[in-house]
Amino acid sequence: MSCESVRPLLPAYGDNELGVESALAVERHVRECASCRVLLERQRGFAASVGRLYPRAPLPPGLDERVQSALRSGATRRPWLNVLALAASAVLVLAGLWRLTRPSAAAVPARVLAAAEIHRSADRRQLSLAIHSADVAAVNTWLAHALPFRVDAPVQKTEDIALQGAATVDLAGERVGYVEYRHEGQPISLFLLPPRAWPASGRLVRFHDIDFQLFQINDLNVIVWNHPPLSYVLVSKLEAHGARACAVCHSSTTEAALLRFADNGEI
Amino acid sequence: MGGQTKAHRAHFEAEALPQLPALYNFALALAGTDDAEDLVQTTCVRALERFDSYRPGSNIRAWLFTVLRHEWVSRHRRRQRLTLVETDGPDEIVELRDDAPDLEAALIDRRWSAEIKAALLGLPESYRLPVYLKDVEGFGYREIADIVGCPLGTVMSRLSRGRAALRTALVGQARERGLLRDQPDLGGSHEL
Repeated sequence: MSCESVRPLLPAYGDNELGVESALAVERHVRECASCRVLLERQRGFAASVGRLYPRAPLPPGLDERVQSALRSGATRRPWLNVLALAASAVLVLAGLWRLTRPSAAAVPARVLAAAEIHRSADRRQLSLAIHSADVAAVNTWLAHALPFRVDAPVQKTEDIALQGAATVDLAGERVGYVEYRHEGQPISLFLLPPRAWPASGRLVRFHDIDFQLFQINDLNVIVWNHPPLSYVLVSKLEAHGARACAVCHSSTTEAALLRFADNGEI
Repeated sequence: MGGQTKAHRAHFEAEALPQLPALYNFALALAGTDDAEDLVQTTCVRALERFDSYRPGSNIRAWLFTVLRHEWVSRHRRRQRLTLVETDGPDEIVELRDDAPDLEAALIDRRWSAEIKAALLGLPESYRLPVYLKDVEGFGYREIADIVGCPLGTVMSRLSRGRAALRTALVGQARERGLLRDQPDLGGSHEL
């Protein structure tokens, strides 16, 4: 077996999930190939480190008694919990509204503030794009060569939002990808970053298994999210907390869903 | 409540209650702190109701995790009025690259428990669950497919993508802290 055919099998081999024949073939190859052996050891080492170091939370006091009590009564929810949940929801809604109407600069991550500043430069036509093109394929090819990390997400064209081009920009000390669109003369800025754990701040909205964080910085709406292998920051002045700008990557049908999500989503 | 029902419940409790810590941690990874306790409690009641469908001798923990995941999805659907097409892409295995930095030593030397947890919980659910269920809980691919409710090939693909994303997030943090000095500063490149 060649390295090329062995490597896709290494994770399953490392997890002891390959069938006997494939496992024996991989084993033979790995015995003789130092580079595949190193990769296998590192994959196993990483998985083992995650398993060993991931912290387990202790059981909250009284939970086992509450479970046993629920099993005896067949109750699935303590009555007071409904009231508590309602109150908690109200508090969260108010907190979300407060955040939207009175944004706290201290709570906004530095890269989000930097993205807003770069967007303002684009708004003043002071940001130089490295490639001026409305051709999606050309912009994608340029991004693939310009960025030191892989860009999997295709840049898609929509009817009323026009692709302008792309550049790399310094986002609070990190070189990241920048794609500019225009909608009725207004810029929409999409920043492409390697994935990261964003600090929990802004308005948190979970949608389709992705956690979005919404910020309002004066007249700008900023949306931040992770979708491996990239993190994204989207800046615009568009309404519905900036969700309309999601149309840069989504169809108009999806855009309608996103707008409903922005208006009615969980806070 | 009759004697038979009591015996049924006692049997269930003997099997299920030792799994509460693992069940609670899975609920935390899936639903977060606010919902975890209630999710565990409801899961246990649902599991008792369906205990006849449990095959004695099979993995009780995997079965309870499956019930919990179903309960979570059912709650989520009730709350989530919107549905979109899954954006997973094809079932491809993401390979570790030859030039990927040696992260393992940094993880172990620094005992990066909090960092690993934050990075893992920061992944989207479709990647987070396979990594959690495999690397933290030690389930097999088939058990993960049952718990998550997707084909085996999708589990393998999501697991490799999830591990790659987790590694990339941790490499970025290690670089920021100067723990991977030998590597050029690529601004958090996408090493897998």
